[in-house]
Amino acid sequence: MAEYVLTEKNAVLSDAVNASAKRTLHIPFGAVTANVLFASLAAVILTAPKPGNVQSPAAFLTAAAAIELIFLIVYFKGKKKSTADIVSLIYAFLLAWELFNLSGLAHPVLVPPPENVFNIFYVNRADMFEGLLASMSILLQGMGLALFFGIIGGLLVGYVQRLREIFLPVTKVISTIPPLVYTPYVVAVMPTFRAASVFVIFSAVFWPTFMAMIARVGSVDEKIIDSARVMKVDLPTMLFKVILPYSLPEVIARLSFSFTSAMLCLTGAEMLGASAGLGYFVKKFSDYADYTRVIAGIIYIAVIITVLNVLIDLLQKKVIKWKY
Amino acid sequence: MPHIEIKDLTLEYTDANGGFTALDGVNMAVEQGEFVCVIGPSGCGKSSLLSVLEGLNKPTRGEVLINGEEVTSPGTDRGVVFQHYSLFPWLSATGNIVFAMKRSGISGKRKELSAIAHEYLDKVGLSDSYDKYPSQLSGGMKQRVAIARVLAANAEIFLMDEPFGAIDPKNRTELQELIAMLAAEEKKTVLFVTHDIDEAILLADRIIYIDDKRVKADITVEIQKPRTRASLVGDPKYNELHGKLMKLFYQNVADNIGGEEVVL
Repeated sequence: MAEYVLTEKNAVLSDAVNASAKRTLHIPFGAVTANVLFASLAAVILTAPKPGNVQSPAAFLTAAAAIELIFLIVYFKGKKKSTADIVSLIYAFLLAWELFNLSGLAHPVLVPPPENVFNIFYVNRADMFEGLLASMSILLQGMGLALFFGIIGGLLVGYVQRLREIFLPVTKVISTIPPLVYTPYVVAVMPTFRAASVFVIFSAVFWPTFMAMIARVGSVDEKIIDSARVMKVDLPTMLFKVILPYSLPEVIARLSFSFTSAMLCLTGAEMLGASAGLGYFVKKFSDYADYTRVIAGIIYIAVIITVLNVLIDLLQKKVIKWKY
Repeated sequence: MPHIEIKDLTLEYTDANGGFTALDGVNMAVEQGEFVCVIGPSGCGKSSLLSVLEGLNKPTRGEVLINGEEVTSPGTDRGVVFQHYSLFPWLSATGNIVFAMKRSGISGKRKELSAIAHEYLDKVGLSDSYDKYPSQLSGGMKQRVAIARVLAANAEIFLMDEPFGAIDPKNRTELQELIAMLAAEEKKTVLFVTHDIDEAILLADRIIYIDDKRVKADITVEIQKPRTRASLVGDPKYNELHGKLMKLFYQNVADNIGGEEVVL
């Protein structure tokens, strides 16, 4: 018995020694991998002999350097291991793409060289920026209206039991219809394409927001209501200073989801009848089989969505900090 | 004139299954500055009594008077501490207190109100938690904020519904001593609902025993204030009172079993 205890103690001790040894000799493999991949990518871009159709690698190199810079900032600020792994994955993909094109196996039209794709960001920068503005103004307008009316409407409807019992089942049905289904019809019916797009985004965001708000307001903890009532709050105070802040996290938590579906509707609608915008950019050039620009457009949309999602995350943490 | 007067108060709830009587002809009075504990087994109607005083429920018959005026709705002359969820989770400790102060008609710049809120937080021993949210506070700390809130809102009457029922024993003792001290210092009239006999004896000037929807006993606590847990131990008056209240609770058990003698 005594021996057993002793050995166990030793085992614990040696574990502790191992652990401390690991700490001192810890190598951040993820970060090393990411940087090795970055270096190889840069080396290949700069030194490998290129076929004649490949344009200047300046834009491609700039993009890789930008990724590296963001990675280094995020890594040293937060030391999150997953960042290194995600960045490694991006470098590996770009490297594979580059090598595939260098090998000569790639179809020159269907799989354009990455240098040419990234070059588009420079060549078409004015078009792309204009597209971004066009899309964002529609997106913000549609989402802004939808959030405003969804939150206020849900607050009022949710507070009145009778209205709640009418609207909750109705909105449950409506909010399950994917807006993409009726997008072509809306584009045909509405007087302008812009109005149609705003309307589609509005419906994509409004119904889920409205529904979530009604449900949340309807299930406010009785004790919260009582605490407010004993302080003799009037109706506006009850709605806007008690129930609204109580319910808002629910809506904010869905914001990135709402945003994704709004983006989906917007790019979808733009492919139907726009004359500017992110989706329009992709659609126009795929009609001409200009896949270099199509791929650039897709990457552009992905980057914008990512940036906006990061902003939404920050907003969430700020608005609902009391939940953490 | 008593500060609070309850006359022939009857409260019936109606729901889908018909009616339910929560209180049946309750009469009692509380003087200015008095600390009264309402005690009784669960389901006896003590919380219903408080809900009428809070203005959340309207009496079916009878009336509740405060300073001679009938209570018909909630009012900021009464400060309430519930057992749970007294605080708004989206406001900081300071924010919760400022909210209540504004509701009580205390006006001023945000900064001035915050400064007053901080004073009351100091008073309840939360000097380092001004900006914490309820989710960052322990159960005992939340109740301290709730107490600071009713103090800051300048309510004349404190209505406390088993406020320390969910707090661990060590913190509960501290909170009991805190509320006893503050109520005496600020000369508040307190109606404190509990099912804890020791808590009632420690705090009350008078203990009202409610059972079966009616007042069954009204006992003045003759033990010198201030009291502490330690000073009560071995005090013959404490032992006598504790025994008396135990008997009331025990009587209820015996009744429920059909009047036969019960050996516990």
